[in-house]
Amino acid sequence: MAFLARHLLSLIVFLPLAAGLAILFIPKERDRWIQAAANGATLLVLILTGWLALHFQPQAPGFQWEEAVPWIGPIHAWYHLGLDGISLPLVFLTALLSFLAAVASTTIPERRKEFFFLYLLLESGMLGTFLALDLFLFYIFWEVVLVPMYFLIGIWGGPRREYAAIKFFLYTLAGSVFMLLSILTCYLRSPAHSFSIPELIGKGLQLGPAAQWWVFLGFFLAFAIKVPIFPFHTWLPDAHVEAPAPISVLLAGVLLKMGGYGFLRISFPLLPHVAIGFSLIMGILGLINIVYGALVAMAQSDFKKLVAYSSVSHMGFVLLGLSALNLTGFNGAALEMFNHGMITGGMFLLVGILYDRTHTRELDAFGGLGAKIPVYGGLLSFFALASLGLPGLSGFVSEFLALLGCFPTHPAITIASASGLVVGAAYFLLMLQRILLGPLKPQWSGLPDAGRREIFTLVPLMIFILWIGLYPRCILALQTPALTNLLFRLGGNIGW
Amino acid sequence: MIVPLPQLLAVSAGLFAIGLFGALTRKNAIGILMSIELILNSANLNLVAFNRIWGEPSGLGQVMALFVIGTAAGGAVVGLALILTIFRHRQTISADEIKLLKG
Amino acid sequence: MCLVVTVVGWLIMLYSIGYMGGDPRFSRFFAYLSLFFFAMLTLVLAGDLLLLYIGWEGVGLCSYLLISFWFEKPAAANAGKKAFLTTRVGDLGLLAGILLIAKRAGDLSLTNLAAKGAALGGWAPAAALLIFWGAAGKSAQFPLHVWLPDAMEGPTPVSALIHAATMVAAGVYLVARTLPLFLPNPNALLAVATIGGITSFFAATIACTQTDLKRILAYSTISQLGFMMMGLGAGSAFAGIFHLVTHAWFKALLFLGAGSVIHAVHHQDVTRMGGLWRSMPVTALTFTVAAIAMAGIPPLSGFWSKEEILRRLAGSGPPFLILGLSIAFLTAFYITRAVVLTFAGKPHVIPANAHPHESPLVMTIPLILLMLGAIGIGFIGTEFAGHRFQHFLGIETGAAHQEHGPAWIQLAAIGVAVGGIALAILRYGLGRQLAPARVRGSLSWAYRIVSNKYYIDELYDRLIIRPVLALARSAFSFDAGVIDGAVNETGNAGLALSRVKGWIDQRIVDGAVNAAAAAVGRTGAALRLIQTGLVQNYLLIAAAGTLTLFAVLRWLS
Repeated sequence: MAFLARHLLSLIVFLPLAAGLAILFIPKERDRWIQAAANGATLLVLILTGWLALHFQPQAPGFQWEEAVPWIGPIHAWYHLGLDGISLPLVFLTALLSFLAAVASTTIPERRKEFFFLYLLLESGMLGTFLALDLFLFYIFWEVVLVPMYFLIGIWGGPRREYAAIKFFLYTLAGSVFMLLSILTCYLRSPAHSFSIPELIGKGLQLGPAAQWWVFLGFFLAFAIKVPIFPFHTWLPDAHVEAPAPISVLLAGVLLKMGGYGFLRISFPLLPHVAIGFSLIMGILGLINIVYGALVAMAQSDFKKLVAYSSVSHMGFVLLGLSALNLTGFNGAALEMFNHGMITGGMFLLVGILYDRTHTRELDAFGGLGAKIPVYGGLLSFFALASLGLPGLSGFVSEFLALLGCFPTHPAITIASASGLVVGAAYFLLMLQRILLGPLKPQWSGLPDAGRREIFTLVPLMIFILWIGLYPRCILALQTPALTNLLFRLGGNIGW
Repeated sequence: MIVPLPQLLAVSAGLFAIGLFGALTRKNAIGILMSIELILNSANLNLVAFNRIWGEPSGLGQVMALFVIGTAAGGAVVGLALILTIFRHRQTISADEIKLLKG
Repeated sequence: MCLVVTVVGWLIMLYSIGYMGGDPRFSRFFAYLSLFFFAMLTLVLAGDLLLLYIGWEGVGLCSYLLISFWFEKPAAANAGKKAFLTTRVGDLGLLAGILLIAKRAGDLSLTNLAAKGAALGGWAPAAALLIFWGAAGKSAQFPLHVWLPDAMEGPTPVSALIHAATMVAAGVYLVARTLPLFLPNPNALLAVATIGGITSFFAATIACTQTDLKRILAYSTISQLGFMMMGLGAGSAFAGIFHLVTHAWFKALLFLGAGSVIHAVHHQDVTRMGGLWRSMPVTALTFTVAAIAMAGIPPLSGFWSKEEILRRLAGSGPPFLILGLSIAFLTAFYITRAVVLTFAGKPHVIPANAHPHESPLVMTIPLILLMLGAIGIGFIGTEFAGHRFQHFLGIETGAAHQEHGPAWIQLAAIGVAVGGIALAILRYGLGRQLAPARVRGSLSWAYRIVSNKYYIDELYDRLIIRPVLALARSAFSFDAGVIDGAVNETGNAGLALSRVKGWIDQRIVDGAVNAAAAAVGRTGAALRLIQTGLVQNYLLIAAAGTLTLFAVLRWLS
C-alpha cells in the first residue's frame, strides 16, 4: 500500500494501459466484461485523480507526488513524473472525460475489444503527457497519444475516416518533429545536460537570442498544431467529424489542451524572453482564432463541424489569456482549457446522441425537436449557453478572465476579440433554432428522448460547469500559485 | 634382399593408376569401392617403402600404413552399407543412375 | 426597482395562470418566469458590476427563452434569436465598460462611483458611454431597438413583465445606478439625452402608424424608455427612475389588458376590433385608465413622472424641452388611438365566429390591482406625499430639486396631453380627417416610411446581417479552399515527392540490389552444369584438379 502511495502517479498513468492489456485476454463474446473492465479502469483512475485533487496542497512549492528514477543512463533520461497546479485540472479533466466517454462508448458497434484497448492506451498517453516532467518522457507520451488516436479515427470513424486519420497523424507528427529538434537543442545547450524540465528551467539555456527564437518556434509549431492555432487548424474539423462521438470528446476535450499545456509547462518557463516578445503575435493569433473560428462555425451546416470550429474559436481565448502575461490572463487561459474540455466534451456527446438516433448531422434536416425530445433539448440548450459564455456558467468565467487579463496588455485586440462573443452567440442560437425550434419535421415524430445512460454521461459535466460558473475560486485556488510562479519566472505583472 | 626404391614406387604408381582408372570407369559401385581400396594400398606401399629407405627409427611409416588399413576397413564397411541401402531403395548400384545431387 | 419587480411580477404571475391555462408547456412557462425573477433580482440587488452583469445576461437568456416560448412558430424562434443577439451587441459594450473600469479603477463595486470616475480620468466618458451602450441594448434604444417589437411574439404576460415593466427598464436602472460616472461629463449626458430623445420620438411616430395592438404598445415602450433616458440625460436619476416605476405599472396594465383582449378575440389587429367595451367592461376600464395615465393627465401617475422629466429637460435647453413635449403629445395621440379603435364604437369586423367575453377573475383581479397602482403610484414622488420616493431613493433631494421650475411646464404638459387625446378622438373616434386630402396625399411617403419603421430592420439586414453571413461563408470557403487546400497540397506534394522517390528506389537503389542478385543467379546457373550428381565425375574433377595443382606448383618452383 505504501508502495502504491509512493507511486500514485505511475499507477494513474499505467492503470488504463494495464486494463487495456487485460481486455485483450477477455474473450470477444464477453462483451459486458469488456465494457465493465473499461468503465471500471477509467472510473478507478477518476477516483484516484479525485483523491489527488482533494489532497493537493496548492501553496506547497514545486511538484507533488514526484517520482524520479534514472531511466536511460547514457543520455540522462529520467522517468520523472510530478503534479502541480497547472497539470492537476487537466489530469482531472482527462480522467473525467475518459470515464464518461467510456460509458458513452457502448454505442460502438464492432471490434469492441480492440477499441477499448486503444482507448485505454490513449488515456495512458494523455495522462502521461500531463504528468511527465522529463522532456524525453514527455515526447514519448506525446507520440503515444497519436497512435491509438490514428486507429480510433481510422477504424471506427465515418465515411472519410482514412483521410481524416492520416491527416491528423501526419499533421501532428510534423509538429512533433520540430518539437524533437527543439528538445534536442535544449538538451545539448544546457549546462544541466539533461531532459528534466525543472532542471532545465533552473539552470537555463546557453543560447543566443536568435537561437532561442528558433527553439521557441519549434515548440510553438508542435503546440500550435495541437491547440490548434490558425492556420494549422484544418485537421481538427475533419478529425472531429469523422471520429466516433466518444473519441471526438477526448479529441476536443483533452488533446487540444496538450498544446496549451505545453506552452505553460515548457515554452514559457524555458524561454521567458521569447515568450514576452511573442506576446503580441500570440494575442493576434488568439484574435484570429476567436473571430475567424466563430465566423466559419456560423457558415457550417454540419452539426459536428460547427462544434469543431467553435472549439477553434474557444481555444482563441486560451491564446488571448496566454498573451496577457499576467495572472488574470493565465488563470483565464488555464481555466478556459478546463472549461472548454467540459463544455465541448458535452457538446460532442450530445452530437453523438442525436447522430445515433437520426444518422445525420445536417442541421437543416432537423427542426422542432424541442417539443419532441424536451430533455435532450434542455441539455443541448444548457451546453450551448455555456459555450456562448452565459454568465453563471463556467465558459463565461474563463472568457471574462482572459479578456480582463489581456485588456491591459493588448486593449485593441481584447475589444476586437470580444466581438467574437456576439458571433459566438449568433451561431449557437442559429444552431439551437435549426435543431430545436420551428415546426417538427414529420420524419422525427418517433424520435426517442435522451436515455438514462446518456443523461448520466452529461450530468457530471453540467455539475462542474455550473459549479465553476458560480464559484470559480475552487479551481482558481488550485492553479494560482503555480501560475504565479511561472509569472515570477517571466518577470510579468503578478499583481494582475 | 632389399628391393630398391624405384621399383617399389613403380609398383605403387601402377597400383594407383589401376585404382584410379577403375574408380573412374567402373559402373558398379562395388567395383569403385574396390578400386579405391587399390589406391589406398598403393599409398600404404609408399609409406612402408619410404620408412624403410630413410630408416625412420620410430617406424612411423608402418604405423601410418596400419592406420590406413584400419580406416580403409571402416570406409569399406560404411561404403558397402551405403551401397546396400541404395540398392534396397533403387534396385541398382550403377553409379551412372545415382545422381540425386544433380544441380 | 426591486419592489416593482416583485409586486408587478406577482400580479403578472397571477394573470398568467389564466392566460397560459391549457398550454401544453404550462409548467415550463412558470419555470422560465421564476428563473427570470431570480436573474432580475440578482441584477437589481447586485452591489457589483460583475454580479450585475450575470443577472443582466440571465434576464437576456430568460427573455430569449420566453420570446421563443412558442417555438413552433418560426417568427417566435426568429424573434427570440434577434432579441438575444441584439442585446448581446449591447452587452459587448457593457462588458468593455466593465473591463475598462476594472483596469482603471481596480474594483467593480457600485459604491464610490464618483471616486471611480475620478480614477478613470480621461477614460471616464468612454466608460460611461460603453455602459450606456449596454443599457441601450437592453432598453431597446436606437439603434439597438429593433428586437423589442419582434419580441411581442412571446406570450403577452411575458411582454408585460419583461418587455414593458422590468427587463427593458434594466438599462435605465443601470444608467441611473452609474449616473455618478456620467455626471462630470456633460458630453456623455448629452449623448444619453440625445439618443433617448431620438429613440423616443421615432418610436412614438412609429407607434402612431401600427395596427397590431401589441406592437403599438411595444413602440410605446421604446418611446417611454427613451423618455426615461432623456430624464437621466438631464442629470436626474430620480426623474428617470420615477418614470420607470410609474411606467412599469401602467405599461404592465396596458399589456395585460391587451392580452385580455387578444385572449378574447384571438387576433391582435386593432383595425379589426372595436366596441369591445360592451363585452369586456373590466378590461376596457382598466386599459383606458392606464392609457390616460400614460398620456399624462393629472392626477394619474404618468403625469407626475413625466412632468418631473420635462422639468429637468427645461434645464437642458429648449430643444430638449420641445422634443419632450412633442413626444408627450404623440404619446397621448397614439395611445388614445389604440383605445378608441379597440374599445369604442360599434362591434365591427371581428371574425364572425368569435364571441368576445370578459376574462376570468384570475386575470381581471390583477388588472384592477394594477389599475389602482397606475392611479396612485405617482403620488409618492410628489410634494403631496412629501417627496417620499426621493427620500426612499436617498438621492438628490437637495437644492437641485427644490427649485420647481417654471409652472408653465406643468400646464404645457397637460396641454399637449389633452391636445393629443382630443386629436385622436377626433380622428379615430369621430372619423374626421385632420388635414385636407391634398396635404395627406403629399405626406403619404412619410407615412409609408414611418409605418415601415423607417426601414431600419431592412437596413440592418442589408448592412449587417447579410454581410456577416456572407463573411462567414467566405471565411469558410477560404478555410476549406485556401488553408485546407494548402494542407492538402502539401500532402499531395509529399505524395508526388514520394512517387519520384519511389521511382528512384525502384529503378536505381532496388535496381542495384536486383542486379547483384541476378549476377549471382546467373553464375550459379552456369556452375550448376558441373554439378552432375555423378560421383565419378566429381572424382574425375578432383583428380584433374589435383594434377593441375601439381602442375602449377611444379611450374611455379
